[in-house]
Amino acid sequence: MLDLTQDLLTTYLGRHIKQVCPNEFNNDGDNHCAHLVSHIMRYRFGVTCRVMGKANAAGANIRVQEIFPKCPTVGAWASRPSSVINCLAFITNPSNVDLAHKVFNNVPRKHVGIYFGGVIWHYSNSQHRVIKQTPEQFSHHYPSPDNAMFYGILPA
Amino acid sequence: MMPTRAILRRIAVSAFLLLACCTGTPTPAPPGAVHIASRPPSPKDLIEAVLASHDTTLKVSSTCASVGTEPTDATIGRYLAGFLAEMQTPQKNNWVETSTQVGASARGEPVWICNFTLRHVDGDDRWGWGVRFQVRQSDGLVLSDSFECTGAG
Repeated sequence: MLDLTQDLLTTYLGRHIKQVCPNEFNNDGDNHCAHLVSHIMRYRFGVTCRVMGKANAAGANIRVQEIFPKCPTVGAWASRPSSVINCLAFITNPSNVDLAHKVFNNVPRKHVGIYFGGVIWHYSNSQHRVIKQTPEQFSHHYPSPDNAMFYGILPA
Repeated sequence: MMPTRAILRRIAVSAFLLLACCTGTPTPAPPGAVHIASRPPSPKDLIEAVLASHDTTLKVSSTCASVGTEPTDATIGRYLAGFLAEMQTPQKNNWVETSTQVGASARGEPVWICNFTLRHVDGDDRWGWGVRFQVRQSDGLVLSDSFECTGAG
């Protein structure tokens, strides 16, 4: 089980995905949000950078729609229980998410980061580096109506 | 008891499969098979092959599970159409990317590994979704079971 800490997350701040992924899946034209989260959290399931890149090392999942259903509990960000202080944070158009069936459509404008210590740690595809933002800042990642936020309890 | 004719037919089929498998003879193309227009494939040939393979099921590869923009998407064509439909805004950066490299099929045949990617960049709205597939070098056959769905995010 990964020991997620502030110190661990801080080591990723400012890094380009090239400095995170040993499998050389690092095209700046791709969305690396799920890819970064999976390297940090060691999510090896589903389609990984090892499959899509070079098989140099263990792979990390690269797709939001595969991570979302692995979360034990999901919900609207506003309904997140106060006891949930670490989780995944998702953002997209609400019509792309079916909470009852834990389905997240593979649409273009979707993003994920790790909520920890009151901020969301994620990969900025426009800045090409890992950043951290408050949930309020993260809520502007896409313009409305593609900015509905959801939480997901961290998959094991 | 199996009739003699049936036994002979089985032997003939087995011999053919053995020859095809072990002597490098390409497996005959199934009905409706897609062949590229020229060898090696040009970007235009590669794109034509993708269009001609639109009916390929998304069950062809685990990499294609849940890639459709809608849960009901079931084919390569429907999956790619979903992302093409997102490229309608003329003031955004949209383009098609193709590439080809030499490789080997699961049967060890020389193939071209073809990549087709739809790309879009608009600030943080940035993606590249597409397919990767193999074309047999000996006869230009698109190996329909080689399709994979590429993309991240």
